[in-house]
Amino acid sequence: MPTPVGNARACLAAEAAAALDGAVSVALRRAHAQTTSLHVVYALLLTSSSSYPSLAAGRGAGGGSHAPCSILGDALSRARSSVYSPGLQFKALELCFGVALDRQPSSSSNRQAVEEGGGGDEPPVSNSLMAAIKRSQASQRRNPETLYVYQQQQSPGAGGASSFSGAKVELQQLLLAILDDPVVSRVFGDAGFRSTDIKLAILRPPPPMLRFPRAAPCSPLFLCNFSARDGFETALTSRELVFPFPTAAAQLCSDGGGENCRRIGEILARKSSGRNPMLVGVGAGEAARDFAQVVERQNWAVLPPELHGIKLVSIEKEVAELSTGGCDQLAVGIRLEEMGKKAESPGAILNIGDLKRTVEGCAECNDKESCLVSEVTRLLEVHHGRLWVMGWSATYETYMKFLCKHPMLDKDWDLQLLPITSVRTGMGRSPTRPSSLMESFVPLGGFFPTAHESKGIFSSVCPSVFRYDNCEQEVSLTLSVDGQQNANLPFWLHKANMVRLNDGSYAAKAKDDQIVLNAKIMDLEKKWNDNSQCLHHGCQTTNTDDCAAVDRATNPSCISNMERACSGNGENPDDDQNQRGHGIPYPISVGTQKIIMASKRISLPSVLEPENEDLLLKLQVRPSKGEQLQREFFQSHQGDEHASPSSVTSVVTDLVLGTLREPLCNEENFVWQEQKDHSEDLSGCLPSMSADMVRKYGPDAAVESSSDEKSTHPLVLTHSFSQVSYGCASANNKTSLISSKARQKFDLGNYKSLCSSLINKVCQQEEAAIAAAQAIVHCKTGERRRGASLRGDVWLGFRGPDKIGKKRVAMALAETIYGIKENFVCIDLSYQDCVGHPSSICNQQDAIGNGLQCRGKMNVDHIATELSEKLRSVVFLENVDKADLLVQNSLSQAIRTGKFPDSHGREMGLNDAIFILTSAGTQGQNFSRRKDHSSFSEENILAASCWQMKIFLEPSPETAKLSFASTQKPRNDQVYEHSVFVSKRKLDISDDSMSAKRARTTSNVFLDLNLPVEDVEGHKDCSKSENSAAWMEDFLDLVDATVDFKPIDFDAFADSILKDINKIFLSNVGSDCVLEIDQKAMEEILAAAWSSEDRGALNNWFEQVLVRSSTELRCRHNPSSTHNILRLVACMDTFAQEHAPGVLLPSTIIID
Amino acid sequence: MPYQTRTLIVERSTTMGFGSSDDTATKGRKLLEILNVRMVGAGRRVLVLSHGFGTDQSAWNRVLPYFLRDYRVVLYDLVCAGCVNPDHFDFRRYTTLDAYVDDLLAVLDALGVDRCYFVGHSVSAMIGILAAIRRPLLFLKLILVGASPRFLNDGDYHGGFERDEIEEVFAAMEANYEAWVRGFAPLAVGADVPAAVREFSRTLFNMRPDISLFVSRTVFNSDLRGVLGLVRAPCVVIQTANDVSVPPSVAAYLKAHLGGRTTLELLHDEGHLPHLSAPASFVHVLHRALTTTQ
Repeated sequence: MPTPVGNARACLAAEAAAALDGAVSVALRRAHAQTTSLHVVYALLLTSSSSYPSLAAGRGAGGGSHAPCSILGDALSRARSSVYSPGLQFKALELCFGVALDRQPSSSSNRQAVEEGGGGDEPPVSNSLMAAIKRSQASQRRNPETLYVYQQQQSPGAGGASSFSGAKVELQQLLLAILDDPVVSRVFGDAGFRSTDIKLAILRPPPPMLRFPRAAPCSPLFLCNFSARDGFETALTSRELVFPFPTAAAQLCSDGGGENCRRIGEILARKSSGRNPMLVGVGAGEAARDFAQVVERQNWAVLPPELHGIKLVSIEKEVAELSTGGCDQLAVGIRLEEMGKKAESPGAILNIGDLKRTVEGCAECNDKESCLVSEVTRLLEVHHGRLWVMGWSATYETYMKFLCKHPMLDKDWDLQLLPITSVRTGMGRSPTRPSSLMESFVPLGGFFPTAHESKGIFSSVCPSVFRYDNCEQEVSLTLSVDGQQNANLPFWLHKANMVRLNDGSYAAKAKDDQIVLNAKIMDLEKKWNDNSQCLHHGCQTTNTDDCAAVDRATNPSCISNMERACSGNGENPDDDQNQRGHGIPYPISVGTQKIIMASKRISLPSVLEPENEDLLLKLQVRPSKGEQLQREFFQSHQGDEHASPSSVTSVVTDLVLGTLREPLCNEENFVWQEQKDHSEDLSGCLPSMSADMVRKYGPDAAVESSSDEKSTHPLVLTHSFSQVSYGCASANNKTSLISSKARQKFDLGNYKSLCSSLINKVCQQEEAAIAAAQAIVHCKTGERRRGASLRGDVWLGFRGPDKIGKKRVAMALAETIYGIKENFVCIDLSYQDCVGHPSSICNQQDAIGNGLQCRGKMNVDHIATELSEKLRSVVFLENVDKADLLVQNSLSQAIRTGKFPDSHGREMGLNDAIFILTSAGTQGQNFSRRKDHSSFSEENILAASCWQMKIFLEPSPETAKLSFASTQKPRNDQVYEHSVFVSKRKLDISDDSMSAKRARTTSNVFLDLNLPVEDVEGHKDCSKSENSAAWMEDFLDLVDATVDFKPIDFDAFADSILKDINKIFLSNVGSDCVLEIDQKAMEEILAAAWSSEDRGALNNWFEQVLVRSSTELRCRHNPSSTHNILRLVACMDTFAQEHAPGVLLPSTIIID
Repeated sequence: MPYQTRTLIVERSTTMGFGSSDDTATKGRKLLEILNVRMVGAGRRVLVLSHGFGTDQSAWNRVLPYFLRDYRVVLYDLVCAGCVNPDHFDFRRYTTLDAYVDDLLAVLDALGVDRCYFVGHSVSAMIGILAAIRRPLLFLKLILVGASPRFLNDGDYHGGFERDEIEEVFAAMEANYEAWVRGFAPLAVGADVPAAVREFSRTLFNMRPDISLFVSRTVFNSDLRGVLGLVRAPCVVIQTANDVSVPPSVAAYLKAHLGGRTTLELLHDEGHLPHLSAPASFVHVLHRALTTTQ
């Protein structure tokens, strides 16, 4: 569909519109049906013919005004092939276009009109031409330099976005787009032009083409359009009309020769002190030579006016000879005398050259040198103001040596150090490069500025000033335009928008969480409909056949009933679920899907008939509107179900649980709280309960319980659903360890069981585990210390040593409360521990790649992401006391408001997470003191890496015994008797290791050996740690509970391990030899034992690796001798390539 | 060390960036505008964040929030940055780094900053070194990120680049800037952090190709080795694990030759732009570098 001319014209700027009008008139004259690109070009050729020589002659140079249309003419004249004579080629071009136009279809109506002599309708713009206009519009939008014009034009209007769409196409852009039109380029080709050449010529107008100031350079093209013109523009903006070409060429070689001379001149021209330049730097010699050249050639332009006419005398050679000893003192004296005479206005500079020569000089010439120096000093005093001295030195050190030799000389000579840092080493000075940059693609035609063109330069100053004023605007536009590819909006804006959207949904979701508790939702019905659609959709996409099969094969009413049950709870927090459903359909869809699966099971012979009645009785206590539906729901199943007396109690318990939540829901009555029954969020233990029931009664009971939960306490519906379904699924499949574990441990489902399960999982730190469990139960049963609103999030602080223990407790909590390990988020907030020992055993053990995830991310954002991704989780933040400012702020805000802001200010709902914040510091006692009398510190063990181990035969048992006696503690005597002990002796190897360790620690803080250590260490981080400590104190006041952890008794731990080793060693190697384990090796073993829960793997390692290597070693060396001492050491400079299975220890030990 | 105690006389003049110093104030204001200077934060101490080649002040965005409480942070764009009007890039003036130093000092003077901590990345580290030589009292401490006094190899000195390689790079930049950016950005960022690569590509691409090329030439023509000893301010050299532009030996060279008390901080993260690719650890190290007593 052709476009009306008016519409097309609206897209064009004045010049381009004029060109279009010309084209339309051509088309009209020829009675063509449409105005095409050919017409535009032809019209331009006609109007601009004045500017190309052959036709200009014929037509009389009437149109001498450098009309915009001559863009094409200019370009053509430069792009034409030199094979033909210009006249011929242009003639050919005109002919070709004429012929091409003749082939265009004509419109009968227009023809008639033309024949009648009247004007027909304007032939509409063809699709191809319109496409070209659109293309040029797009490419112009990408071009920042032209944008401000359009914004200017349209700024009173709606502003940015709309002005882009209304960008008016400049002729240049239009031409470029038209040249892409295959029809046009074919015609040009017929005439011997290549359209690419023409395009280049248009893009790269010769320098004087600046007379088209608005003809914007096309920035996305990087081929060739930088150098010349750009340099030219800069010349203009600096308001100096310099002959473009040499300047541009000089600009391109970015050596600082001129700049250096200027600086030297500046110093020389100073009135105040420090007026004798001393050039220092690798390029200093060069700069000095450059300067000498400038003075010699009297190129005063670079020097300040007062220095014009200055003279330079170099005694460089003499000074050099001075040092070699072969110098004639007299000659120097004479030169200096001359200097004194020369030192008249404007003055003279004495160049002493490279200081290196004087520094390197032998001792005997020192006299001569100092004589020379004092002479120069005298001269400087005498001819003050008219005599300068300058020198240079490639390095600062040389200069300092020179000063050492002649102290106070810098004052006497009034020296001014001038750092010279630019080196001119031929970079970009290759003569071809600048010129190739200049000349490439610029045909010589039109290259040299002519008189009439230089007029244009002046006129172009004005726009550039204009542009300058618009700088800011342009910068902002540039910002938004650059980088955008083809889209209307820049990529990152898209991104930002998307993020905003997400943000919105998060916010909405978070809001919902709050509203849900007290608001009535009026349009619930409608929402539910939407929701259920969504759910069904979810079902169908994820599990279509299952869903369908269930629907058909089993009890179909069940699902609908459940739906109604949900919708029935209009007044209840069930809305929560519905609303959540909008935000995050996933959990619900999963839930429903599982319900469907469950309902399949419901249809199986079931056991719950009498209990259902019980249930209903209980349910009637609840003031719920859903009650009725509930009853319906259960009644609908009663037919299928059979009685099972044994199940009564258990189900009743469940029901009690169900009703129990009621008061919690209202958040005022804590009727059952005292009984420490698990409640609201202990619904986390649902999987285990349901699993339990599954075990007892088969799958059906579990399902009943799920529906039970749902009906009685909709607030936790989402979670209990998914959890229950998980439980069901896993119990069914008999695959999930977790649920079976949980099943054993959560039978009672109360605080005690939580404690005991925790303790079972956490071998040590029972007290802490109990305290943590107590705190969580306490919080979850509803007593909130923060605010009046119901908040599901719990904040615990774990203080004290035992990094691994804290983590283990936290993981156990996550596992017992939520049933799956995935709900555990562990983030170490201290950069140090996260990255400081990247390969340490204790860090590697937690396979969750903390480092990988936080790569390129701030900790705040990392936490925020995790929070938004995981619905309910234990968020374990290690080393909160070392958290950075942003995390501190966000955490403070989160604990107060329940929203966690990320670094962009987006707020994440806490999703009822349990926050566990650890810090190594403790209140009151300082556990670190224990390090003093313990052989192993937690710090060292945490730092232990999986080093390669080496075992070798101790050459002389006596010395070993000796040193053992001196260093070992009595405690280890027994161990020694057991023939395995830990040595603290320093061997040469461990010396290495010590130095390696030192390097490790100092890699973070480099000590300056010139300073006392405490100077560096003592004040380290003082302000930060003060701030952090204060914050930490405040923060710990806010958390729900703090749990103190005890330090681990590593000595006892080591003893128990040694006992194990001893046992294995005795039985496998024999009692006649002693194994001595180096301290570091022991730390490595301890780290492995500590961080892994599995002692079996460790014992395996002892048997498989340690004992085997020992035996091999003994066999190799002198197997007959008795009472050998085998030493096991860690080679701290090499890391083990392979790990033994199940434990992070080397799979082989080097036998030496 | 006898000469460490000497007071040095170094160039004290502050040549204003634009023209004579008659109307210093207006020139200064104009310069602040041109270079998009911002001063943010609530602290007392002044922290200057100066971006490197191919970036602009937005490179500090991820680092900035951490310092707003304790510092007044000065942000500005180098004149070669993509978001400065290219018309202000005078090809005859910015032939040496000294012109950039002029700009920096003029900015600080215009803001009335009399002492500051300076964080400079890449070329800005060089600029900071030169500025600290010229105005020793202005800079309390220099934190040099990805800094190199000389990029080209030279005898025993291993700067990381051979001249031929550099010429090839320049040729590539000339031939197709966009392609060069696409290839160079991931290389420079080093670590596999797409966001950082994207961001660096954007700012690098924002630079006008000719300016970019010109600045690279200036940088590669600079040799600060001779003047490092003139620095009096304490310095912290932050060196990443794998920096395409700066080999570790260069950091050691800086530590050995810088005149002030110099410490070396090694970052385990990779790449030339740790403030983009590993902001968390970079912030940590930067914090330590700033707070460690001089």
